[in-house]
Amino acid sequence: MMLTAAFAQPVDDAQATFRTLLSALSEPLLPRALPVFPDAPAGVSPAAAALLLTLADADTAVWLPDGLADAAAWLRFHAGCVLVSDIAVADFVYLPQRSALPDLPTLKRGSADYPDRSATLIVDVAGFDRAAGVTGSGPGFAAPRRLGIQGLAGDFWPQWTRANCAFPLGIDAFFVARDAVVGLPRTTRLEL
Amino acid sequence: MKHSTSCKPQTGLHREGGRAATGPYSPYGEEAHSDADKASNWRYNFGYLDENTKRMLRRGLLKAVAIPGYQVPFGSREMPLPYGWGTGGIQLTASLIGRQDVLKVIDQGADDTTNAVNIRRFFGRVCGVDTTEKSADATLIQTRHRIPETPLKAGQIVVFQVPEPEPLRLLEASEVETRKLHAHQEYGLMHVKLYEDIARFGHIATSYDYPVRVNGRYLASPSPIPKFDNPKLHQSPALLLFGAGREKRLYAIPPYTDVDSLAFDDHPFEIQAWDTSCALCGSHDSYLDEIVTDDAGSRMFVCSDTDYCTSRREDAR
Amino acid sequence: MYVAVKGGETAILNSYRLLARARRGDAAVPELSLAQIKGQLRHAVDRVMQEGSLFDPELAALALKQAAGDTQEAVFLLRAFRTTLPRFGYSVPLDTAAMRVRRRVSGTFKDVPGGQVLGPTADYTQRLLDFSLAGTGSANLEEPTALAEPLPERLPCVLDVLNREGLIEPETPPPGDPAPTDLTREPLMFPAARATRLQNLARGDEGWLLGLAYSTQRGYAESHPFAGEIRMGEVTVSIAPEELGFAVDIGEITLTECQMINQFAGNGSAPPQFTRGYGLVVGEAERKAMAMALVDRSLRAPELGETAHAPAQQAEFVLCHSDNVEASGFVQHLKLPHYVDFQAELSLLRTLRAGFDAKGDAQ
Repeated sequence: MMLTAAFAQPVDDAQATFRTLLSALSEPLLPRALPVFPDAPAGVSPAAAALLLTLADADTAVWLPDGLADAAAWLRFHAGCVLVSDIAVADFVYLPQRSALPDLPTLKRGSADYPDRSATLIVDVAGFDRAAGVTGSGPGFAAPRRLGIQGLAGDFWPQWTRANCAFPLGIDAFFVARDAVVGLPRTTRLEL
Repeated sequence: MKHSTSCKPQTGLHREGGRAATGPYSPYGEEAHSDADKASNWRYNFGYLDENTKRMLRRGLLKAVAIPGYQVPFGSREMPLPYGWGTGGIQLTASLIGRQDVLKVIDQGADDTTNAVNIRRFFGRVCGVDTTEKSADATLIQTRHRIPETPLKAGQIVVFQVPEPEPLRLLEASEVETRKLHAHQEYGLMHVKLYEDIARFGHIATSYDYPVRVNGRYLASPSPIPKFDNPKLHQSPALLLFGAGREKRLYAIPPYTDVDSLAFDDHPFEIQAWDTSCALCGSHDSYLDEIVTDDAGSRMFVCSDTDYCTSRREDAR
Repeated sequence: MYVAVKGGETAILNSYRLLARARRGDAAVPELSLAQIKGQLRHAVDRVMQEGSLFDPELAALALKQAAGDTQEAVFLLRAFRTTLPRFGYSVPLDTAAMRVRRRVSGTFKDVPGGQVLGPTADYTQRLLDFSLAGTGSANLEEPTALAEPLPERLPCVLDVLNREGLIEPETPPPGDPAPTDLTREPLMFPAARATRLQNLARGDEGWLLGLAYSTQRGYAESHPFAGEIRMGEVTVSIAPEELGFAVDIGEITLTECQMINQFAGNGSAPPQFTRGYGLVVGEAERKAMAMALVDRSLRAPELGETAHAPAQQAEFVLCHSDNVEASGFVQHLKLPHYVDFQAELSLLRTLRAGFDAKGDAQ
């Protein structure tokens, strides 16, 4: 098997991607253009590959759905991260498009003392539509903002709501579609 | 005004596989230690920290943004500046900064205080980025003890240096206990402390590092800014990040987030006010430093924010 | 007219020049070489490596030279450098029973298998200033006599060898033998496991440990210690890379180990027995290893069901204040400008004072 390359400029590319993610999470439901797209292994979008390379390493546990053997080898090689089959211990959970939605409330949601010890979802979606969809408010919203996230599993929002019903415990997410990323922290109040 | 940075990026071999950040780094600068430079071919990574450490900080920062005001523990590293001198802020800045950034560093509101100069020089040397004194031109502002008077803008990031991230620490020394108090949102200790002030003095006797409630949930330290600056935290368009290196905690206030300074209905929160204006620029609404001008104790009041004061004087000309 | 003091950068650059000259001292005197520092100031080098958490005698010597002999400053220099080093892996646990012992003494047994080996100790030198060292001529060094019998290759801890009655608690790993946390990469969290505490103490400030240890002997903890065994010598360091599947030796380091035993009255679940405190530090550092063992034991108070009333028994107090890089930085940060907050306090104090005076006038 040929391993595809990772970031061409590991230091700068990771930095630029991180800043985009930080902005995306700071102002939820506002699509941001990602700056760099590494070659991605089969089954992983280049945008999601950029996120994983930016955030995952030997100190993190990543969960991938079954059938992404190339991606697993690629991540082990480039990020050195631990791939786990038990989703309940994962720091990052990657969901490619059309993959079955795992039971979100079973993800790591942290504890009352340490709510930061919680999972982050990275979800491939079909696209974003600012004219429709869910409306969010809370930290990061100067005013309520609307965004349609296309291609999510049918029961995504009910599951998301259940996973995030006990703040400060919860999970956070990045949605990627082609060249854009949208952040969604557990603090966003959603009108579905 | 942009400072010329003496140590520009060079190409060369590099441990992390990226471009080399700087030439051999001598703490005393190229003018002082050329022999040591020749002897050493060590090259530091861009931003000093290695990529693993940056990723650890970045993951922490994302969780901090997701849980506003909550103190995320992180594996703080020793930096080439002493603990207590801004190592938390420096580590945050090092994990954030990129080649396109324009960095401003202030201490006490001033760009020219020695510690601010030192930190700015550090980033000039290990990143080669542009630096500025103009608040409006900066993409990243690292600060100790002040928030600039010039209103912050969307897209800017302010990094606060924090000596003690735990607002309850002086009331409860044990970290095990304060963690529990945050988990249970049990902030009665702080209310009692403030109320005792009122009973004793007639008003709250906290003038800086005045505790805030972030997004209605976590009690947080705004860092030792004067309470004059607290209102700037509320619904700020900029992202506010806080780093405590020695205490190994970081936390965040995302843009457009409610930040309330603690108060009582009959004792509302008030900020400092002066019955004089800045002797240099005439500002009536900036934080003033008191300067003793002679042995007889004569004094004058001037803006603590040197960029704000200078800009006003330039505009007046 | 007042003009804000500018020129911070110029002043800083000038401080570098002054510092460099002060460090060098009289240029007519030959400059110190790192080999001289490494070879003749070994205790200083060891201490910088211990508290700097980096085993590199050459860099420790450089740090000492740059810091002009200020140990804590040298520790700080080494720590800051250490930050930039990537982590390649972890060694397999060191085996101190396989130490090539140069010194081994026990205070609890008159004789021990292999005998008491004094080694290069200053203990019985009578501490008379040796004026023959005042010159630089090479001293007349006598050849030391060899041991009558060489020590065996493995020298198990005397406590284990002589504990046939089971009166000394056995040293067993905690349930599940969890991997220890790495305090150089993860923050100290509480409650801290014993492995974490020992790690903190091993890189903690010697003066802090010494004072705390001393306090436990003076009534600030129930401590009735005996020095079961102290040994110093060289231990092999090995790594076992995953792809190799076996361990490879990568070098050796000098260590000092101290097994302290303390009286223990027993509790509901444990019989009366001797309990242990453990000290292990890099280099020849007996004072620190002994102090560490005493503090380790006092920090075990809660798990042994003892009341933790003394400072040396309180883990948060001991461990949060043991690091001299943290302590030195924060104590000294007070010399940075604080005038904004001082201004805030000044105006508050004026208000309070006005209230106080008004009350006084009214009475």
